[in-house]
Amino acid sequence: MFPRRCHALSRSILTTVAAGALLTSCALSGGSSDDGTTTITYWSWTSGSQEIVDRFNATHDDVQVDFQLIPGGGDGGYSKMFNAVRAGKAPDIMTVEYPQLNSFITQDLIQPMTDWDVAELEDQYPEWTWQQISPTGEDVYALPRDVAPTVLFYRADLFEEYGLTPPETWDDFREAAVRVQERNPEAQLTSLGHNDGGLLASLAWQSGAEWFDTSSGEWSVETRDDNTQRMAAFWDGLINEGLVEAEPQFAEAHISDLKAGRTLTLVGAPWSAGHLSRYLPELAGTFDVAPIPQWDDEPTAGNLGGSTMALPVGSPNPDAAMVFARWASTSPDAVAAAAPASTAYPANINLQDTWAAEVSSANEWVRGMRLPEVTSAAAEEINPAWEWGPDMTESFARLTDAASARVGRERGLERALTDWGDTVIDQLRLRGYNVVD
Amino acid sequence: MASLTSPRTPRTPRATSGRRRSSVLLLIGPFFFLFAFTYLGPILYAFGLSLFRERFAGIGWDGPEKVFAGLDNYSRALTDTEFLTGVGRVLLYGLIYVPLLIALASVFALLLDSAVTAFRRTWQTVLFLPHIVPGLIASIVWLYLYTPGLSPVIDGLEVLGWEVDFLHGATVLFSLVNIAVWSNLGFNVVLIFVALQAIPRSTIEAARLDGAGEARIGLRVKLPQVLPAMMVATLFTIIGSLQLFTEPYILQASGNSSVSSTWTPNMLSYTAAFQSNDYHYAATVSVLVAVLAGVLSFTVTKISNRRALR
Repeated sequence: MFPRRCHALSRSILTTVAAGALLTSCALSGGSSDDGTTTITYWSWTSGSQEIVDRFNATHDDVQVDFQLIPGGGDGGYSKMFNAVRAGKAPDIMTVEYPQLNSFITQDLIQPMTDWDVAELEDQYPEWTWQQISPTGEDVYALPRDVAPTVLFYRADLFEEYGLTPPETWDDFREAAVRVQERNPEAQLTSLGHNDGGLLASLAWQSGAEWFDTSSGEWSVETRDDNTQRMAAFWDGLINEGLVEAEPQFAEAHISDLKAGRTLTLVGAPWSAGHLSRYLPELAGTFDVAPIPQWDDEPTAGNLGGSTMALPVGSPNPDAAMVFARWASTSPDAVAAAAPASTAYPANINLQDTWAAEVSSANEWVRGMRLPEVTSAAAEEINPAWEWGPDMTESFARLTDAASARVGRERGLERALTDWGDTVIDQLRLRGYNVVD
Repeated sequence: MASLTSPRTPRTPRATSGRRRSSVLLLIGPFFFLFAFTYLGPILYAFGLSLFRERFAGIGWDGPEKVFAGLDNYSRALTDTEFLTGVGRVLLYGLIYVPLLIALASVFALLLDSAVTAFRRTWQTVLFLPHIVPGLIASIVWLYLYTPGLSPVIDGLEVLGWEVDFLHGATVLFSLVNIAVWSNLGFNVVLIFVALQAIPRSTIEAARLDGAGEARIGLRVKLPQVLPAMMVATLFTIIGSLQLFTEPYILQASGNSSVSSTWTPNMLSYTAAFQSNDYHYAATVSVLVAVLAGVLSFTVTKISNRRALR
């Protein structure tokens, strides 16, 4: 008897487990319920996402959002999205950064939003973001959420102590680096996150480079140009003369140097203020922000980060997802909700005044900084011609490899960037893309 | 035989052997099921994947096309300098690591086994402790000790006028060997020590009566008798070396070292799968690593069998 009972027991356990699994999978897949509410899932890792979702849910009845925190894009988030879409288990809407949009389009992971009348929103966004979300020139593949014009954060108190003013040109920056070491041999003006492909790209972008170009109907990859090389040579000089250290940004050593006032500036973007405030709460009031130093007379900025919301292929509830995406990208309410958690700058031009007011009132650390005015000026100076390659997650990994291997050597970054350009061309050809010689 | 002693039982010898066969199947079935499901299946699946590729065309806006590639992925891997240097690196790493580990493990096992050692249990525990630390944590701890500005070790060496860069150039290989030896020494010591304990004490006493010292007994009497255990340790370690991933991955992720994202074949496979979404190439590299591990294991087993026969 016992075995049979045991059998019956295990069967009933199995049934329960299976039923539970079914219920869970129903809950996960969301969809419309009886009362007419549609629940959608949203995958993101950007700070402020939870707050935006909470505000949306509080102000909407017909659509509710289930926010799921996933690993950062390059840290596994993009891989998760790839697998989910290919397995037919895509979320309803998800965060994709600008550099990766092209790879999401070429790999058939996201779908055009054209059917949801997004074209009418075009004049609300900077030209360059619209080109990056609509790289084919026809369909629109994402809605921009935030942009990240490059700016320079600096220790205003120590600058004053050392008799420095924020450098207006990169030549001034170099002089300031020398001055800092004269005044305090322990300190350095800044450190370069050589292992961050996005940072190197933003510096090249600001210098006037255009690493990728599709205007000829094929890919062209260019890192030997004068604009890239002057930027690389500049940082090689600073690093090799010991004026600036190459080190991963926001790693332990970098934080402790910032904390101790041994590193005086940070090349960053508006969102960096949020990072700084979390890592260096005790330094509130000591930092200010200035425009990024310039190469030429015409002021320019690069872009370092920012994100969009994209509709995956197989999104179960695209209509509801678009309601949320449109709201998150165009509503002042979304900006106000995110402000306490994030200092990222909204891409939507209509929201930028709201952001300026909210970011200072919501974030004590930012109060008193010139962040709103410096950011809004920088946002208009981003070179709109910059394009991203078709596989930036991989390309960034290779850029990190190239720069880590060479930085600190004679002409290290210069060579790393030219080598990297060659590697990217080889990789693209291997995958079948047409690349101009 | 039950059927002969009791004619009343209806069972025939055939039925008995059938029963035995089914009980044998029952006993080894789970193993074969798991073996097929978690080992053979994935290898076949990976091999299947490796025969295809995703091809883009033009700028790529039209999406990828899955095409049969035959052995193209294999010829790509075998001409890929990253794959080849990666294989070279793990082989070099193994060449340093395997003999070093086995030699150290043998020495420590002999020391533990020799009667002169006091606090045997304590030493055993101390040697084994690092093995309990997961490889990931061990790598992070060592990364800290290798990072300039954070590491007390580097500061100490600098005081002595010795500047070492643990994370760049050729030194990295030795830094990794060091982590692996630290983590795995204890396990291998135990492996060999257990074998030493099983040696008939009479052979050792005979040697001692003949006037052999402890060192000579260790080398000439004990070690030859634990050769099979050493061979097993070697085999595991060689396969482990080929799979080198966690330690260099952690160093690479720190952004502070010259270890690249394709530094070992496993890292290349990982990067291909999870950065480039190129599962076909990742599978190809994995299959090649499996083949290499198979060939090396086969060779080591052959050599050790030949020795055992002699």
